[in-house]
Amino acid sequence: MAESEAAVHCHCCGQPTGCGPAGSIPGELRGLAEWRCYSCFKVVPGWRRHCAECGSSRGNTNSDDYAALYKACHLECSCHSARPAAPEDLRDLNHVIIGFLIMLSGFLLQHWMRREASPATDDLIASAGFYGLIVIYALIDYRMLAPLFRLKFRAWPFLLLALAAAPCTVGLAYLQLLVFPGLQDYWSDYAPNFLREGYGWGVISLAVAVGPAFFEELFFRGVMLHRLLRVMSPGQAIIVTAMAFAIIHFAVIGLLFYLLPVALIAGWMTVRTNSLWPAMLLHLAHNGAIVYLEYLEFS
Amino acid sequence: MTMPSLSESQHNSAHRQKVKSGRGWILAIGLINAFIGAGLTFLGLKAQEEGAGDDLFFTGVGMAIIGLIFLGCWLWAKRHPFPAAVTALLIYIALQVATIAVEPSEAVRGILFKALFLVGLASAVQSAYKLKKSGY
Repeated sequence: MAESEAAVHCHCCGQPTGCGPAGSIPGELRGLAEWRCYSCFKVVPGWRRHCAECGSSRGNTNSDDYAALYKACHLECSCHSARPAAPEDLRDLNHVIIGFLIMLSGFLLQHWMRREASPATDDLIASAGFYGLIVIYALIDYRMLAPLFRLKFRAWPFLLLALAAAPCTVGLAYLQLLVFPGLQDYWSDYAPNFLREGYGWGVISLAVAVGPAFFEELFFRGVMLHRLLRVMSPGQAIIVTAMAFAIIHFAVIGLLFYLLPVALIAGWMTVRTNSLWPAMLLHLAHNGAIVYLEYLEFS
Repeated sequence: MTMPSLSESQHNSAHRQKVKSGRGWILAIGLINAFIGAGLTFLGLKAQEEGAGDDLFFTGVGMAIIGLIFLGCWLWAKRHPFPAAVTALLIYIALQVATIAVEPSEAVRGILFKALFLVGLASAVQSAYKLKKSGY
């Protein structure tokens, strides 16, 4: 057996556990049972330095940061001896909650401005400031997010699937009108405010479709989903992110019909492809369809 | 196979108790929202018949949906307490912040219960996380 694969003994009962990076890491620091590769999300045995699937060492905290390893160290063996989780482990969750509060304040500001029919220029300036804040917040996780902007070949079918969101949204909207005609009064109208001030449909598309698709996905499927992936399984992280995304839009009707399905599919695509582009395209297609419906209404 | 030590068992039992209590908070929030939502929906329907607007009806439907989401989280928390508690906490924070933003005078109303719910949910998240990390 290679030195790195040598059995590690439990600090409590002394029994071999068969896990943990032995050899190079001394005494107390041994015992990371497994780690999750940040590039392909596969769970990798703790003794491996690189992911067997993609060869990446990202996520392998035991390769470079012994102090972090000590905090994350979780030695389990047949005696059920497990180190109590250090409070520092909840940092990912705190990061998610702080980010969520920033997103929430931005969304509420946008809602308030649209409800009060503020000038569209003010709306655009506020949105730009809000998106800037998201970018600054995302920069904290630059190392984690950078690989998500690569478009791998396996993502192409998902891009095509994402485009299907546009006809689906238009179809669902017409179906909704047929079944509940009264609901049209409660749809958000984004265009009138912009058209009143002389902005064209290009600016409306940029403000309603392109901007939210890029920056909201950057936070929800980029920062939030990947922070949550460190503390829960991919399925759970996708559901939590989708619920947060759906609730933050404060759209009662849209929550179940549009927001939740879009968010769940976007999360699934991000985890499957390890890229943000399919989720962004899906969001863009959905929001683009809404702009198209408004265009039909106003023209 | 060696049994877990007494202190560890006690530690995990305390976490499990806190998680159970957290589930209780989620259920309470869900039921409150669902009942108030159902009541408002009923009143909204009455108001619609009398020719008033639909605002009350849609507020009721919204609250009922939120209540159902919390009840869903309560069911989910039985098998997976950590993600369910995180979801419930995020939704609760969003609703409270939105309520304060829309109607600042509402911030003080029922503040004790709001604080209790928030602390209960936050404690549930922490306990569920510790329970999850300890492998139970």
